[in-house]
Amino acid sequence: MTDYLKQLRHFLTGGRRGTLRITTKQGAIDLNISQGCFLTPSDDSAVIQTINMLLTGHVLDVSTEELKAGNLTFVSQSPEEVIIRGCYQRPPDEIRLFELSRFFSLFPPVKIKLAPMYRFAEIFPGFTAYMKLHADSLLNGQVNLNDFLTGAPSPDKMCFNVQLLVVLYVLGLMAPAPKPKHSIFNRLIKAVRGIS
Amino acid sequence: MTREIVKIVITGPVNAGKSTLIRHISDTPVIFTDEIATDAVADVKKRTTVAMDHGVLHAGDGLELHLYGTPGQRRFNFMWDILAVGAAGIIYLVDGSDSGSVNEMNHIYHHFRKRLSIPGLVGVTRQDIDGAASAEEVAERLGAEGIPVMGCDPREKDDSKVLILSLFELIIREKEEFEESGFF
Repeated sequence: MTDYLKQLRHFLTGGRRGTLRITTKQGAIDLNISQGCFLTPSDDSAVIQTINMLLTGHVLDVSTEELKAGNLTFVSQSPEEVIIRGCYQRPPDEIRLFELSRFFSLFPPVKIKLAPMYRFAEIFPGFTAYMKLHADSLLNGQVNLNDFLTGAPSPDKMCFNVQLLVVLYVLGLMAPAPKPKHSIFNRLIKAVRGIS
Repeated sequence: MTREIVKIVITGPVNAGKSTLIRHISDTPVIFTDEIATDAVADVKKRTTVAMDHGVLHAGDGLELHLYGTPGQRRFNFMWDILAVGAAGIIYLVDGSDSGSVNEMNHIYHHFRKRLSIPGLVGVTRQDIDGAASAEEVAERLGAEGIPVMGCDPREKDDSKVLILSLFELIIREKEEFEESGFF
């Protein structure tokens, strides 16, 4: 059950406006999003909890609704920070970890996009790993997520890698690796990669 | 065969690693215009660039990547603008272990940011030295909102390659976004 990740990503990166309704055994929780930002009645804490619940809890259903602004007066200025805090608040259990790693292992080769994530380095435990993945993506042209996940030396590291991939995926920092083109810069990239 | 040239500028304070980076990427002997340092620079290195460093990478079929390294010292800043003409992108290199270098980078960074609207990124060197400023600290001091700032070691060939490839990535993305925005 990982469709909600795709929906959350679409809302955040596509500038869509709407409500993501998440149903669990305990009831329904809404994530309200507009222009790539979360809207809440007060502050980010409830959104962070909900993001974490998506990764750690047992989600029964996720649906989208039209956004009714109402008392949603607080606009989160940094969806990156919310997503990072939500993903790293509590690690997923064994079952959720398996679902998430399975989801990412099915991805085609991806490229990792460069973004000024250093702004969140203090709260983003995966920042160094992100920069390393980005460098690998540049040097090799793509990153194989299955190799990345299966190459984890320990379960803790595997969990760490999955959390990182969730952050990168939801924030739109990974995309399918492009098919080779023959533009000037693609030719230069090939030449630089070939330097030994 | 048509000759196509893409020009990249590498700038930053004295002793940041500009010449080293160019040496790693160029596949022809690099032209250095270094002279014996006579002022405060002599405290950190014996020789320093006074006009430019120039290296070329041949990508085949007449395509060439030209790398121009600027002098680090302000007194040669007339060369900065000359070298920037026609550049497709710019790499700012700063020595993270030297607070003076970071201060000077602030001046150089804003000099170019006011004059150039080309993609750029900042590389923070000497991250292996205790107490060196991190990428995020340098970003904060430069007020570098929205421009990538990354740690790097130009003495490592792969790090030099990653800096250049990251810049290409930014250039390509900007081109694609411009094309997708419907102006073409």
